Formats: sequence, structure tokens, C-alpha cells
Amino acid sequence: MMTRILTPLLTLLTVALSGPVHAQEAVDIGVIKNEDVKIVQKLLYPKAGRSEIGFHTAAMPFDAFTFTPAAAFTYATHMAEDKAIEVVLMGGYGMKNGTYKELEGQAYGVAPDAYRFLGSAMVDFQYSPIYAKMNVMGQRIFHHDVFLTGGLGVTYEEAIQPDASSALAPTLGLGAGARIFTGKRYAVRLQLRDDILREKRSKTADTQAWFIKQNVSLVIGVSKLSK
Amino acid sequence: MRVLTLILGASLWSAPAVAQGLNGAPAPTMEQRMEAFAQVTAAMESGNKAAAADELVALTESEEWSMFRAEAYARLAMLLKNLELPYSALIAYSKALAEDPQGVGSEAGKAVALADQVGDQAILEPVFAGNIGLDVDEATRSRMAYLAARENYRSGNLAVAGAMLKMVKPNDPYYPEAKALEGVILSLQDQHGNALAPLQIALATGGRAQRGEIFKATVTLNLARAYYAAGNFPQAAHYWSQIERDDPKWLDAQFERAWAHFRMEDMNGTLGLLQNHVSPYFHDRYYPEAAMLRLYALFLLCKFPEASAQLDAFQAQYRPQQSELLGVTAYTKTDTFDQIRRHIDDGRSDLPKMVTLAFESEDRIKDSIGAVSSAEGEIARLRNVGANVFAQTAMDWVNERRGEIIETEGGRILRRVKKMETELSEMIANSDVTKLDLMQMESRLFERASFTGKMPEAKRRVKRKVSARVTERKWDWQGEYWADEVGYYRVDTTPECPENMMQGS
Amino acid sequence: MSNTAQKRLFPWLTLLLPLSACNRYEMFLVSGHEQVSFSNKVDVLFVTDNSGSTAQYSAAILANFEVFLEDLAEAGAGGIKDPSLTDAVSDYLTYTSQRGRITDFRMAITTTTVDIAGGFTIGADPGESGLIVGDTPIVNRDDVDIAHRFKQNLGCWASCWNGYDMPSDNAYTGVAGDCPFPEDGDATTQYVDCLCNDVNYPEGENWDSGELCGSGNEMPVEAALMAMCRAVDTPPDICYHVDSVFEEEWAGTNGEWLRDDSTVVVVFVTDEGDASEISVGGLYGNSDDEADVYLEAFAQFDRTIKFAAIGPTLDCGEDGLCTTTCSNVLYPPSRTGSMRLKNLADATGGFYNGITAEGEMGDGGNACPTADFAENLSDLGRLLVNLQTAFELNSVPDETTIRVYVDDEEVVRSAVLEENEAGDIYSDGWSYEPSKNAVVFWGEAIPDFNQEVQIFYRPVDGNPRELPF
Repeated sequence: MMTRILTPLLTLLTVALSGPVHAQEAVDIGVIKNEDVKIVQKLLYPKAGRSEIGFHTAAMPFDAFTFTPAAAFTYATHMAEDKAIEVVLMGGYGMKNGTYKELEGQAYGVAPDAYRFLGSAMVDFQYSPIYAKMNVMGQRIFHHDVFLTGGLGVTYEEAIQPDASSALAPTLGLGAGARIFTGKRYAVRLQLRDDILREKRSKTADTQAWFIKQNVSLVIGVSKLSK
Repeated sequence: MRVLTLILGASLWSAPAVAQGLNGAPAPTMEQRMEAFAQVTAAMESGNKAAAADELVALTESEEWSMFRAEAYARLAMLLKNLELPYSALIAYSKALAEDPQGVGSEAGKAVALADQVGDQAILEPVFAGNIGLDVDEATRSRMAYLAARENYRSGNLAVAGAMLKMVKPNDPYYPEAKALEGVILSLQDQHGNALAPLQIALATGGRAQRGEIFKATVTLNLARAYYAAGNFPQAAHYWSQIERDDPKWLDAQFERAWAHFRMEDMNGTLGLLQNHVSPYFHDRYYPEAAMLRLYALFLLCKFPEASAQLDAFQAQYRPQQSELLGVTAYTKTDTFDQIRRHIDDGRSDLPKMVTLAFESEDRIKDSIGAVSSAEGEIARLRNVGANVFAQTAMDWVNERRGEIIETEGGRILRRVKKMETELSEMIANSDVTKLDLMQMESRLFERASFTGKMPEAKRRVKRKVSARVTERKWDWQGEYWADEVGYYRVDTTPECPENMMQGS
Repeated sequence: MSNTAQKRLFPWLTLLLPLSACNRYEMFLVSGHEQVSFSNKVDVLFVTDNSGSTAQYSAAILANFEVFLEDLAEAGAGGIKDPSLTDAVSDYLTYTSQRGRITDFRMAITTTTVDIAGGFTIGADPGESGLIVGDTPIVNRDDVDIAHRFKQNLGCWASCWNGYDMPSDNAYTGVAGDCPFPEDGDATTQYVDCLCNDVNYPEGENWDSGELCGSGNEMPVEAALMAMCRAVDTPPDICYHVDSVFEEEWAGTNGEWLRDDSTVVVVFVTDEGDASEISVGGLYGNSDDEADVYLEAFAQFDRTIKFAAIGPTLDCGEDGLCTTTCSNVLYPPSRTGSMRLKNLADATGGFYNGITAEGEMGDGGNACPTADFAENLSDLGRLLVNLQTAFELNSVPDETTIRVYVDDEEVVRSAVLEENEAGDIYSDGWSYEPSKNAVVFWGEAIPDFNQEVQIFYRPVDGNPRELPF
């Protein structure tokens, strides 16, 4: 059974990954091939050895019962062009969304034991392997990078129900984003981050105390690089 | 009282007295002078400057008082200057100096000042070129020396020009220009090594005098050329690389730098620099030699198909250009000058870009256009007083001078265009022959490959690996031209010449 | 893998889940919501059946009305009947210091007749299409002659005495303004004469007129809806539903009966069930007895409305299926019509009592005797008072999970201070009443009106309704 699957799969992989066959070189003699030419430009927006301060607004619109507007402050140290360590402090206030209000209304009379986000402190490692440029409307060229983040921290939340019981949850943060450089020292940052918390909820301690919660946020902000 | 007035009038309007007569003739007496200038003096006393000017004009045309002609011109120049007719005054001064350089040499400074004012220094160059020993102060002599040097340089008297430039003082406002010209002259005299020092001085003093980017770029270019001529190709390449990417001469610098790399047998470097010239951004420019150089480099790398393609591209681009240039050569000098003037004033002209580009940043043409504008303005003012004799005379002078400038500059442009057209015609004619040679070489290359079943072992002539520093980014080339990438191309290709297919075998 | 390891590992394995924020939350049920203003104002509407078969029921109400008022007084509705100065002062102090404990009620009466064709005029007469009856149709808690006025409205305008075999008692001693109910419990002609002595009937008419008898098509629910429509200046759209008899100029014709922030209690008294079907200008489908359609209609008035019914006696099994019993042989009530009233009462936390008692013959056969209206009215009294202290829950809760908040402040659970046959005495706080499936407030914890009450709990047997996600 495995052979029947493996053989065609391996064949497919081989074909997909194989480069041009040797016979093709006979066609490309005597010409300047594309791979012969490179463009080497001075890095317009270097990051290595610089620090970066950012102010951002964020929103967590994906939760089933809450909507959270938030603001964040970031401070990053770039050890290399593609590596950085960043501290992220975020504060917000999770509110009941339309679904929650409808549920707790007279028609359904249901109150989810949702927790509102209040704040988090994270230390992230940032890896930005991609540095790119884009041509907008044939007029202007913007340089940008793409980065991935992963980090650890804590998140503080509070129950939305009137008991307002609090939870300080260890958090794993994952994310991806991009910096669009608008000047030598400034960039617009867009990021999607997913903070995965392990949260203890007191009201349901007898049936299930610990819950895994994901705070997925869209973050947009401006950052300034040091000289 | 009348005597006192006469004495005062004489002292105010006195031109430098001529110590000796012209051509060895005995010096005129004061009585003769007074008699000659009696009408002038009378007119001045009555406050009628126009009449005085008329009288002075008559004096300049008088055979009887020819010994006072220079003085009359000089006095007329002063009067015209007072009448706010600077160009007419300048022309009068130039006539005075031409008539009797020694006699009116003391007015040279004023003449130079007027030349600066109207923007026509060239009018004085022929005068000073032959009369540098005038009795003037040091500052004036220095200015004269520079103008004289320019005239001699244009006439091809390089040695004289070089000697005159030595008289330009360090505190002269045109000292950087003088040193730059000195460097050029030395280089033209094949004293390339000696040319470097004046050019470096020009660069330094020009920076201190805040000459601007165009001056700096011009001197840097000349330095690079001097090093090239001296055989110091790396240094030449270094100076060419100093030209900023947004400078009007940048593309020229890249082309010349490509030559330096070619001379260093760095074909990859040559090709990398010339990649700019074949990009679609510069298809309307005139760089046939760049295309030929690229073709030659490809040839030396045995990239015959690519060279053949380059040749086809050359012909496709430059045949129409040649036709266009031919059309321009049919212009008159006046038309040509008008076109270039319109182009520089407001960008509208019928001249192709490959012609106008060379003059857009040229000081000489800008000065000429300025001078012509000054002349036209003054002619218009003179028409308002057209009833006077002096006005008519001055108008004739200024008009004539305007015509001279237009003829000179228009002619210069036309000669350049003709030279371009001739050069291009030759290249295009030769390219057909080259094409045949290339096809032959191509065939031999393919034959060899098909016979052996593989490419013969190639000798890498220049080892070059494209690498990027930490502060640089390397982008792959996919055949797509991005405007921000122009000037940053690096080529790393291997020659495909087997040992027995070296050039000439 | 050990259980512990599984428990430790499993949460982190959820990292493999797509990062799509599918967060899981435990669901609590909640009673009480933001718009509730826990007002002590109760506006009561009696919708009485004035068809020919119901005279004895009107008499039963008349006989027991004082009991009803006394029950209200004992339960904390404030002393009403013949207050002494001490009582009045005590009431005043209670009212001002513990206003939530005094139910401020007012009452009005209409009939089950929606059709306006009958009556004294061709238009809408009092009692028809929800128009409230009486020379002074609204009876307030503070009225001195509250009992007389209510009984006059009921007995003289909303009862059908015509054709009723009414006994006569020449020894009756009541006089206008003071008409005690005959001691033998039967309404006599002399009693009704006394009661209706000063009523302004149209010329030539009196309490015995056939025009006071309604149509045989009893539509108490539609009549209640029409009464609500008449009580507001801007009737909601439901008032103009298809085939509705309501007309725009009727808006506000029920005067000052309905107050802002009041709870409405509608009391149906009928022996026929409800016939408010679409075919005759109502909203029910033919065999539809679910409360939803009229609950949604009354919801447009944006206030709490509770329904109580004294209707055809039902015999309900453990499975919830009910059948009519002790029915009128001549005019047997429909099961569907009866269930309509019961379902409305159940859905809104009211009560449904049978209008007849069990008889010797059981169900079927002869009609059963009239039920004990003293008990029915006592139930009504308790309903009015309990409005201010009890909160019904939608599902049976896990008692240990109940948490109660008033204006977001948690209220502690009461402790039993004294056990008593008449009812345990609790400390300040709340307790859970399984019989009513309600949370009841005690002492200082009783919410003042306009306070927001929220009760969170986990249901024992799952969510009562399907959720929209």
C-alpha cells in the first residue's frame, strides 16, 4: 500500500524539484543569462545594531463574544538584519459584542463565561528573513520587510460577568507582520499576532478550571528606528 | 567761471590721457584734445548727455581726430553706462581697448565689470588675449588673464593659455575655474600627471567657494579623464564613481568608467556599467560608442549571439537617430540657437534630446543666452531714444554683437551635431561589416559545441564573484528593469572562448 | 501516557489547532436583563368573560374581592381598607424607607368581547375591543372606596346578568355606596341594584340589559392586546395587524391606566378558553396554542407583562399534556383555547387556575361547581406582591452555581433564621424557591425599583433554547 503511494509521490517530487537538464545549456551559449546579472544596492533601511520604538493600535475582533480595542508599545533591539528581540506591552479593554448582548437578552438568557482582555506583557523573538520592495502604481517604490515573531509572557484578563474574577495567564505569542519603510527612520508596521493563553477561570473550577484561549489581534502602528 | 567749469568738466570726463601717440606718432596736445572734445564738453556742460553722446560717436568716426578715437570710445562707454546702457558701454569699451589697449588699459577693470553684468565676457577675450601686459591693478590683471586664457584655449594656443592661467591669483573669484582649465590644458598637452594637481586644487577651491554640484562634477570628470589618460585606470574608475547618480553627467561617467574597466580587461565590470546604457530609460540618448564598447566586450567574451543581438539593437536604435541628426544639420545657426534657447527657457524645442542634453547644464550656452537677452533688452530701450545718432549707433553695435553670439553659438551646436551625425554614419556603415564577422564567429562557436557535444573549457579572464556586504542587498535579475536599480548592475559571466578561439585566431 | 501527563500535554497540543481563535467558554444562564426596571408599579387588567354563561363567576369575584385586598395588605402592599392613623403612618414610613415593599397597583376591567357590533352603540362600547369599563374605570391603590368602585365596574359593566337565574332578597339592607355582598354567597337582584344604583347607563338601560352581554366568541388575549393598544398614545405596529379591529383614533382611549415603568398583569377570567384566531381577527393559527405569537406582540410595548388566568379547568399529566375537565356541558371549552391561556401564564411566570372545582361527577358529565375564588384571588395577590421580590428562572439551575447581582453588586445567599409552617424566615439576601423555580429576595436585599437584577446560573439540563451559534 505504502509503495503504491510512495512511488508516484517520489516521482512527482523528483520532477518538481529537478532543475533544467544539461542539454538545455546548448541553447543558452553565447548570451548573457539572467543569472549572470545581479543588482547590488546599498541597503536603504538597515536595522542591524539599531533599536526600534513603536506605538500601535490593535483590535481583537475574532472572539465569539468580545471585541477588544487595544494599544501597544513595543521596544526592539535588532541584533542583525534578520534577528531582533522585542518587548511588547499591550493594554486594552474587552467588551461584550453583539452576540454576547443578544445571548444575555430576554430571548436567550445566556451569559458566556467570557473574559475580557486587560493587558499583556510579552518578550518576542523576531525573525525577518524577507526584505522586499514593491512598485506602487508605477510611481513609487516602497521597501518593506516581513517578519515572524514568537515569544512568551503573561496576559491579565478579567471575567465579564459581574464577579469580575481575574486571571493572570502564561502566554505563548506567535505572529507575523510587515514593516513598510516610509523614511530612513520610520516604518509603518502591520502585524497579526496570536497570543495563546492558559487561563484559570474560578467560576467553573469544579468542572473545568483551565482553558486555552487565543487572543488574535490585528495590530497597526508606527515605529521609529534609532540613528 | 567758464574756465573753472571747463577745468571741472575736463576732470570729470577725462579719459586717461594718452602718453604717447598711436603708432609712434607724437602725442596729441591738450589744445588738440580740447578742440576735439569741444562739442562734447559743451553738450555736457549744458546737461545734454544725448548730444554729448552723439558728438562722441561723431568723434569716433572722424578721420581728423583719429588719434582720439580710443579715448572717444572710452568716454562714450562711460556716458553710455551713465545712460544705463551697459551692453553698449561694454562694446564701446571693447572697441576702445581694441583701438588702444595701452592708452585705455586703466579702463579694463570697468570693462570686465560690465562684461560680468551683461554676461558677455567673451567679447573681451580677444582683446585681453593679445594684451595681457596692460598697466592695470593685480585684481584686474587676474581677471584679464583668465579671460585671455579662455580665448587662447579656444583658439588652440594651449601654451599661451597655460601661461596666462598662471597669472590668475588665488583670490580671484574665478580661480577654481582657472585651475580647472589649467588641468585640462595640461592634459591636452599630454602632461597628464601634471594635470592632476591643478584639477585637485580646482576641486578643493571650488568646494570652498561653494561652486555647486555641476562644477564639482565637471572637475571630477576631468580628473578621472586625466587619470585615465595617465594610464591609472583604477584611480580613474574611482573618480568616475564619484559622480552622483542624479548628476546630468552621470551616464557619461558610467560610460567612461566602463572604458577604464575595459582597459583593465574587466569585461564583467564593463558589461555591468554598460547595462545602464542599454536599459529602456535611455533609448533616446546618444551613446553609440557605449553600444559599440559593449559589443566589443561581448565579442571578447565570445558571446557572439549576444553581441549580434547588441548589434541589431544598435542599428535599430541609431539609424533613426542618425536620420534625426541629419535633419538638424539642415538648420541655420540662428534657428539652432533659437531652438536651444527655447529648450533652456521653457523646455519646448524641436531639437532632439540627444542634442539638447549636452547643453542643459553648460555654463557657456547659458551665459550666451543671457547675453543675448541683455542685448535684446537694451535694443528695446535704445529704440525709445531712436532719434539720437548715438542710439542708432549703439543699437547697431548691440545688434551686431547679438548676431555674433548667435552665429558663434549656433555654429558651435551645429558643428557638434554634424560631428555626431558623421560619427554615427560611420559606425552604422561599419556595423554591417561587423555583423558579418560576428555571424562567422557565431557559426564557429556552434560548430565547435555540436562537434564536441559540450562547450570547450573556457578561460575565465577576470575572476569576479558578485557579493554583497552586510549593508547591501543583492537582487536577482529577471530581465525586468526597475528605475531604482539603474546604476547598480553587476555582471558575472564566464567567457566562452576556447583557447584556439582567441581573438585573431 | 498517564492521566496527569495527558492533562498537562493536552492543553499545549491545542497549539496544533488552526490559529482561528475558537475560544471555548462555559455558558451560564442569566435571568434579568438591562431593560428591566424593577418597579413597584403594577397595572392590573382584568379581562372577564361577559358571555351568558359566566354570571356566577362574576358573582364569585364580587364575593371575594375584599379577601383579595386584604391579602395584598398582609403581603406588604400597604394597608388599604379602613386605615387607622397608626396604620397610615406605618404605611407611610414603610413606603418612604422601603419603597420596594409597597406594591403600587391600579386596576381596570375589560371584557373578552373584541367585536364592536353589539353593545349599546354600533361603535366600541366600554368592554368591547379592549376599552375599559366604568364611570371611573381606573381603580387606584390609594382610592378610599377601591372595593366599591372595582365591584361596580365589574358587576355593573362587565357582567352578563341578563338571563341569569338571580335570587331575590327583600331583606337586603345595603344602600348606595355601601353594598355588602349577601352572606349566603349568591348575588341577589337587590345587591346588584344597590351596587349599580349610581351608575350612568344610557337612557332606558340598566345592569340587566342584554347589551351588556358580550358575543359568544371569547377572545380574551386579543382583547388584552387591544386594551394595551388603547392605553398608549403611539400604538405599535402590531395593533394594526391583519384584520385587527383597532382604529387609529382609539389610541389613548384607555386613559391613564398604563403608567411608565410599570409591570402589567393581565388576568383572564373565562370559562371558554381563547378564540383569538386569524380567521376572526386574532393572531393564533387554528390549532396553535404556543405563546410565542402573542408574546412577540406584547413585546412591542417594551415592558414586563405577566399573564394569569382563571380559566377552564385542566387536568395535566406528568408528560405536560392537558385535557379540559369539569366543563360546561352546553358550552364545552376548547382544549386549544384553554392551553393558549395556560401557556401564556406559564411563559410569563403567572398562574393558571381552574374556574371550576372538581365535582362529584368528575370530568365530563355535569358541570362542576365554581372554584374557590378566594383562593384564586389570593394567588393573584401573591403574584402582585411577589413581583417585587421573586425572579423566575428559565431553567432549573444547579443551585450551587447561582450567583445574584443587583446593580453589579453581589448579593449573598440568605440563611434560614426561623422555620415556619406559614413560610420560613430568612436573613437579608436571596434564596432559591424550587416550587417556583425562582430566586427570592429577602429583607434589605430586596431590590429597589429601577435597580438592575442579574442572576447567573448553570442549568441542570442544558440550555432551554437553541443558541444562534
